[in-house]
Amino acid sequence: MTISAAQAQLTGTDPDADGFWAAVVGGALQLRRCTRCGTCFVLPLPSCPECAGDPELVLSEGRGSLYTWVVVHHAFDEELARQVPYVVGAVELDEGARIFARVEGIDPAALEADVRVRATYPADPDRPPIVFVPEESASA
Amino acid sequence: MSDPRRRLSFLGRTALAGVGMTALTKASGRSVLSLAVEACRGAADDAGLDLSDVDGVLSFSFNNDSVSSQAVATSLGLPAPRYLSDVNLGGQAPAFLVMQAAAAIESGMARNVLVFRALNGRSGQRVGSTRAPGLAPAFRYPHGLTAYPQFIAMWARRFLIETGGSELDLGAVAVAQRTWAVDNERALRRAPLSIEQYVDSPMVADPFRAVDCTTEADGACAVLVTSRARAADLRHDPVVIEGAAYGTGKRSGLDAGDAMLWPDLTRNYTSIIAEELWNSAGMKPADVDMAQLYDCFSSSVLLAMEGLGLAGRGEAADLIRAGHTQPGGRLPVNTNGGLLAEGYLHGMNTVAEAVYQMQGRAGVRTVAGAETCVVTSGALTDGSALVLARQRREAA
Repeated sequence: MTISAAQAQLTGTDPDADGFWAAVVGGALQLRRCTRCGTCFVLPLPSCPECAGDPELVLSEGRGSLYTWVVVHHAFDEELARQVPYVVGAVELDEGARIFARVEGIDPAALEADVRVRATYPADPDRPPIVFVPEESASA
Repeated sequence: MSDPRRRLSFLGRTALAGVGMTALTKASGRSVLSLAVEACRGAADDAGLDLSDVDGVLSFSFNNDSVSSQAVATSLGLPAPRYLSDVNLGGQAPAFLVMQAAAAIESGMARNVLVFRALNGRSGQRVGSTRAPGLAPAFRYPHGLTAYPQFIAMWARRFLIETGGSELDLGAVAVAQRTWAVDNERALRRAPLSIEQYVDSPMVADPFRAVDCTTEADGACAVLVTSRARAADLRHDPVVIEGAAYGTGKRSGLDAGDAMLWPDLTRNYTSIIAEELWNSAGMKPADVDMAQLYDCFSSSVLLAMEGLGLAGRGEAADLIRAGHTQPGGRLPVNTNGGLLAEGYLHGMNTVAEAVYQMQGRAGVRTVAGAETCVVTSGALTDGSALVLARQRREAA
């Protein structure tokens, strides 16, 4: 199993979050869905932030729309400084959960709100663990 | 629903009486404790209160970057502290801690309380770029989303999208606040700033340029909170706490930078607490003479003006461009230049500026005739605010 440098910093640090990163390595986004009200969320909370109901684990289709984004020009550590400029987006997954991840495959200046994107999971350990690309794009 | 003013028993009965502030520098060469002690001693001296009468100290810190209230009380030689507390909060704290101090005073837990923030925030641990640990950060950092300018840029962009604004709306904030900073000897950024210079300045976290971001500082700031009756016997005019609110909503998040659950990144806590704040003061937005709005980044001024009802949806930038928030305008905003220009004492200096203004002690920046001021603390999902009023005393 290959995990990225970024994931390696995280797995094993919090038992609640490990399942999410294990799923990413397997090429999927793991969500929690409330068994009472159906609300979906990414953060590994023990109960639903909407109604305090019990969550169950589900897998996302990995598709959604770009809610907002930042183009990082100044990074605060060496590893990220080598990557600027890069885009981090807030994606509203179709299941209703918001997630942060890289956005690639679109010129940052051409990004538009609510553009459709899909998640990819680069196997290269030096790449970010989740990268959203335009939904119609063929490349990963 | 009952009158919220009745529920906050300290309103109208407690006041801010003094301010202490160190110089703001890029490298203090001093310990955080010595900065904290200078500011706290300064606030008591400024009020004309003997330190032996101080029995409460209250502070906040981020990721253990400060010193305890107990350490400060010890250093000040306080004879009998009865209320010492440190909270692990950021920019949402200053007004909230003034509320806590006022509640402690009103309830009898303490008589005179110093509220301080001290940090070597430039030469030591920098709030703006520190990777604080936590559960929600584990869902940001792996993506290269590591710092506050980047987190809040997400809010700013969505706000500009939904209000039909542009980067020039952010620039309007930076430019207007600099018109105040040129007359503030404490400010780290005092050179005049034009919108052309704004556009030419480097991007940090698009849509934020460097000048959209607060300038970090080493320093400390403290205010003295006491009863209205005692304040009336101290050196300066009492600045009475007439309105106050702290709050957030459902899905507030796991930490101050967490925006994964908050439904609408174009509206922050100010839109949640506005009604309670104004009701508690028995006032409307149009009733205040000035605003001191927490501005770690330019966009937070736009969100706060809208959220508090000082401007309509998408209209804050137009008010600013028209000069209304600048010297001579009808609603002066951030009259010290804000955190953008004066420097980042984490919003404690935002409260301090309100006190200076309400006491007529802001030098050439003093807004003539101003009697009321709204102050906010925070930029994100939770935060606090005060409505302050000058109590003019008869000349002796």
